[in-house]
Amino acid sequence: MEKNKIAFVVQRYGLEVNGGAEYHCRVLAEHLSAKYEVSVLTTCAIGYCPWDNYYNSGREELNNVTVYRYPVERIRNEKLYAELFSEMKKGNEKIEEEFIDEVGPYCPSLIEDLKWKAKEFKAVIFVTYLFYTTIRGLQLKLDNAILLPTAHDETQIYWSLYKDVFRSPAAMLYNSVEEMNFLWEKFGISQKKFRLTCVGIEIPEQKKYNQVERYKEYKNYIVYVGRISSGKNYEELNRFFIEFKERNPSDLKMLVIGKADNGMRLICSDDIIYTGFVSEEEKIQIMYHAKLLVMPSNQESLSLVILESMALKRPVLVNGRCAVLKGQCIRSNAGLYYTDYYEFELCLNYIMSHEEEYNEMCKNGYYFVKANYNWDVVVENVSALINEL
Amino acid sequence: MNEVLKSNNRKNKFDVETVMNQIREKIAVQKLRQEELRYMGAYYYKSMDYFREQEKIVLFGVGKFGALLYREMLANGINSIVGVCDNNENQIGAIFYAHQILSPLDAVKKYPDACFVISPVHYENEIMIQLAELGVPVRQIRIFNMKMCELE
Repeated sequence: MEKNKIAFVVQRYGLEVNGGAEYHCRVLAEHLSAKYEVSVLTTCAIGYCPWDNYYNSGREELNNVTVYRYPVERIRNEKLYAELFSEMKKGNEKIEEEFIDEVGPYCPSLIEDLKWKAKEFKAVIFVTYLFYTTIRGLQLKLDNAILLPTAHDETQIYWSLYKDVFRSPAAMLYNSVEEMNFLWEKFGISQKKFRLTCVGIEIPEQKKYNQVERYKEYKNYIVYVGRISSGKNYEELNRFFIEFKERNPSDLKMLVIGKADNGMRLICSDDIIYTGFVSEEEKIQIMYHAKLLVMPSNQESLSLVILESMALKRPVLVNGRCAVLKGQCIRSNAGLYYTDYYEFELCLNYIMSHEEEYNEMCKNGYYFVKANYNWDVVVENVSALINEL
Repeated sequence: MNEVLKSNNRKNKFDVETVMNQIREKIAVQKLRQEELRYMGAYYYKSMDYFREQEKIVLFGVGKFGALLYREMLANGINSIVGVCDNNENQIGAIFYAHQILSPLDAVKKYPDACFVISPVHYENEIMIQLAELGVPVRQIRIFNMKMCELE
């Protein structure tokens, strides 16, 4: 039987592209390719600053997905962008058009092509609300448009230009209950068709993983996985853990997996071990042998690493000031959350000292992820929305 | 009918909110306060709490300490920074985290009711006097010393 065609529109796409939303788009496209003939309309850019053309333009097959790349016709001028951003912040609506082109990736040929191709597709899924490709694409007012915004509470979302972005699509795909509630309240779009949960994870095989040889000496540790950056609020975790060890002497360590942003200033400690970049396999091994995963980020639209930890039957300790993380924690019943140092200390001590409850958290997380975030569930979920269009 | 996320309904001894309530109660009973903490304690948190209460903040100093402080404020959910200024004439007019850098005089004229936060570590007293001479009430001037909270 011939498969229905669907398309994704996204600012960047490819195995080499770094970025949560772009990764999300790629894995979703690849998993939907079992059910649909999937095309991706994207640019030749690999980075968002300054959106320079890295990939060749044209057609490419990548993991069962047909990728159409269009050249970026003007790279971002950072100085101009900063000035326009500043004007937008002041509420200057006269420069909106200029801002949209400058935010980029400026790629009118993609939009022109989409105008003619859109009817071929049962659905056109726009990923990330912020960029030119989504803003201009949704201005075409397609009746088969779905927006997967990956939004959270940030400066730009309050600008008037984004009102149309959220009101134009026929349907929405949300990453979390908190994202959905925020956007419903902000834009009054609760009447639109929608689905929650549009990304899954590969549930790791339930087996005993060997520890990575070079970390075998650490028997008692918690783990952080992610960029070591201010954006992830890592400095706070750095200070909290050192304080914790001062006040609670033990052999507990913290293993930190990830690359540090340039200019990060960290407090050194023998209790914190930076692994740098590790392979996916090693990451799973290290997470499996950890007592828990800690996530200090203030702003997340969804944390995949938290789901991975739960799938490995390891509880989580998250920043309760991030509504999405707190929500994930409460719904899964698989961890605790903190909003200041003392809550961090007491939560960590609780998890480390309540064996029976710890084991319950481990199981809760696994069943929560299996019920909501395995790819079979996600593909059915997204397909159901596409069928409703 | 749209399905929402399936919450975890497994019957077990653990419940997040019950434990969190116990933890909050323990903190309240023991009167544990951030100010007692050794590493990031009093100074850092008191300062961030103070900044959080301000409607408008102008950051004085766009060097490395200014950048560090700016990021710390954002990390603490403080979004009330309305402007930045610096004494370095070469910097004036340039962009610092989406803000155009003003001269101190222009910043005072533009944001007379803002709280001015001084970030440079070695010239804080001179800058405080400078701002006071420009007409900023002393109650609207705050020095944030990175050395006090081990951020520098």
